[in-house]
Amino acid sequence: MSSRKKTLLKVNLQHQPDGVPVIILGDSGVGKTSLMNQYVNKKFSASYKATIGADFLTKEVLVDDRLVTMQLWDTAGQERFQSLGVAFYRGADCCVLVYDVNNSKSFDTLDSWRDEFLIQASPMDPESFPFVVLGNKIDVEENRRMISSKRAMTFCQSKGGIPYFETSAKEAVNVEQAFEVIARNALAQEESQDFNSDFPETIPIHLDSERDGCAC
Amino acid sequence: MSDQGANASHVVSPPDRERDPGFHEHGEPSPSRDPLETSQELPPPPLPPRPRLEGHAGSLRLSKRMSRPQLLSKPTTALSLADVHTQSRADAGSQQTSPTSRTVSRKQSFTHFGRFLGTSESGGDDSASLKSYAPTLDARLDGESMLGDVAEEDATPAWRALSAQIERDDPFEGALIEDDFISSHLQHEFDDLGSVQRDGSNEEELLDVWKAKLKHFFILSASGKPIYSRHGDDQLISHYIGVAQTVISFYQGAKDPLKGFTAGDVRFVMLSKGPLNLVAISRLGESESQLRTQLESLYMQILSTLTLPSMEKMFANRPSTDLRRPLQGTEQLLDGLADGFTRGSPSTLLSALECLRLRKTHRTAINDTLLKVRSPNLLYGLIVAAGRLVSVVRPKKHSLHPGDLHLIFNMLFEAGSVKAGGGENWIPLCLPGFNNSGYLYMYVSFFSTNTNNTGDGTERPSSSGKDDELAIVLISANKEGFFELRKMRDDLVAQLEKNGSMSVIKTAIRKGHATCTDIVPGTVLRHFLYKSRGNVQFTMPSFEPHFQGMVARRRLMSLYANLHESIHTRTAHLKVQHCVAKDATALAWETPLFELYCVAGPQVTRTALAQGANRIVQWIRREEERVFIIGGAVF
Repeated sequence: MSSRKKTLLKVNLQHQPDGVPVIILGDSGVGKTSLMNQYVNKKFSASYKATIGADFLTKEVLVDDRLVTMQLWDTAGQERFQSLGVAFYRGADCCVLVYDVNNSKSFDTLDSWRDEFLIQASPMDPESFPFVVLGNKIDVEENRRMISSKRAMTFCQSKGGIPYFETSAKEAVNVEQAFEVIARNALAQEESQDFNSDFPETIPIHLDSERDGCAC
Repeated sequence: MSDQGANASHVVSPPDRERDPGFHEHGEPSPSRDPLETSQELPPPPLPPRPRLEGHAGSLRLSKRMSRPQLLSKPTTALSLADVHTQSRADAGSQQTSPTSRTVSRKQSFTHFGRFLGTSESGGDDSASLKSYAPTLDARLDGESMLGDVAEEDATPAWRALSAQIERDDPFEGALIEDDFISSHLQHEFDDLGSVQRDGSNEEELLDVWKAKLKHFFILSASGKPIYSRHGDDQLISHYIGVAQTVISFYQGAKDPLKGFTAGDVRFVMLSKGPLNLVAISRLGESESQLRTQLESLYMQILSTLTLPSMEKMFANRPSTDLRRPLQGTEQLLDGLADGFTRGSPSTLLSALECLRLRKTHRTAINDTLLKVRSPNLLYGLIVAAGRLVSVVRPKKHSLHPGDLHLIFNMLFEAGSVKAGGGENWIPLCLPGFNNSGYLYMYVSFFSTNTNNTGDGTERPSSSGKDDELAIVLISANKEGFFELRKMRDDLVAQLEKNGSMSVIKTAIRKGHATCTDIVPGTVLRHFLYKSRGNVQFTMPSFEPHFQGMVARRRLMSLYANLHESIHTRTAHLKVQHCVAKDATALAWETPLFELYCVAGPQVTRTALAQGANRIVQWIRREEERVFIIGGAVF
């Protein structure tokens, strides 16, 4: 029995750098999938295809000489998928909120996306949970812009100083920089949680349940 | 719908060969044996008198064939075309046996029907609509008998023309008459219409483009709110939605729902499903029942997004619910289905699936692997290559509904939205054929097969075409099962790589469909569709070299649709249908075991066509366990 514990413990330890889950939220059509595609595949497609369900991508990033695998959850913006979100909200290490700078409604709903996330994910310390806000589609001509940088930054300040980036998935502006901060903050969050889950009592419970699951 | 339900239990279950004596009978057919002779075994019932046919007998080109008494072929298409057509009449006697109760219902509806007489003076396709005005009489039998009655009482030339036309037994008619029109318009059928400008200046222009579309689908709520239209935005089509709503509700109010009608060469079909009304408008010559099947499929897509209880609840709470909001983002799925129907899909026509051809031992190895790595929460597992099923793992008690699979394949391979993100997907969806009241969760992972790297399951580049896409689809009822199914995917891919199955699959995908001459060297056949009824699966050769391009393919599919209709109208017990036209000859052959539709070039004799058909059946017999999935991996 004790030897089994040890091997499983090892597996758990190996799994740690594996998962730095990041979830991307925002109204439909703001460019969540395009941002992901630009970041992960360095590609942009002008044709819009609404995401169905959730899209899962991984990307290895170097954070301070450490190789970390980011698990990116690109979610559908439609309301009907919100129930699906619960499964991904929990365990996320960073939540990216995206809006379209040319669409004021998508900015107005940022706050409810944030609230929704905090309710569903119920992180241990909601005040310090890392969010990042991205204002996308800055490549569109200036006179169509609805949300000024100032307004967006005021919002981010009021929510405890959320980092804010203005991006263009189409022209690859600021995408790399934004995700670097996302990765860094997510990793920091992951490590702070590690510390909390390091109590020995929690491990046997976890193992027993895992054994039950495999018994069939 | 009930048909499909019945089929569902057979989807991947072994065929019941014993049911079909015809199969054994043709087990070792001599090459010269004519499949038309199947009708010999069935004693032909006496034919009812058909006086109207006599006047046209002169145009029969195959008159030497008339000496075969068992064929009872008659020319019936001389009214409009020089083409000749022959047909087995083994079934015709059944028309005499219609019960008296039917006669009663016929009379009742007839008064209703009479209102429309004035508008349908001359033949054309109009006649076909007549039967559909009478909701109790959509069967061919009733339509025909009804017109027969009329013809006796009031035998005007127009009525004779109508009576002859309602036979609809020239499968080439729809495919050929409108050819030029269809060819020129099909090219632009899928072009985006654009939207009406604020000042409405381009409205007329857009309406012209809109009206030139060959096919329209509308979905509206019972209260008349637009939900979906394939072409045109709300502003453009709102008048038409209003008209559709008025017409539909008028008949619903009279407790006599409108099922369809035709105007010139355009067929209109309506389907009412609870709080939704669906409308198909087509110039492509499809039959009423084929269009109805297409509407059923669109309806299933809506249920797949919402589930039936939640949709009903929305409308119960607020009858004026705008369903476009909850359906937001699924337009692309509905468009994908609609465009598939417009292009012509063998899978929809036959309500069957196509499988990737593999050796039996290879398929068994894949099935065994699936069972080995199966994760506890798995409901269905599918390996799909370019829209063709490679293997399936399923619980013993649940087979897959072809309609559900069609929705999944459409989502994965036509709509493009799943691939757009470039990652693995986790999608809640309802499979209405399985259970229309709740969601399942689908894990999807795509692989490119055109790379040589076989070491890891890396994601394919999103630019690769759909023909080399391999998808692993794992479906579970567990909402949180993503990582569990993802692990199963990893295990599955690792095992398939290890035992060589992955390269077998990739080779099979790259090889594509065999051509007709690969299958039967020297055959006159240019294309065929073979549906195994027991397996609810079909197989076909490559569309090349004879049917390249969208127009050629659409023409072929129209021909198949007409052949299909001619042996599937409810009272048609045709076993064999043979058609001759100026640019093709074709044969449809139905037994309890299979349906076979073959197309050859012009001037091909019936003997040669029949020989070709027999060779195909022989080939299928040999290859049955390669071209079809029999059983699949069952747990």
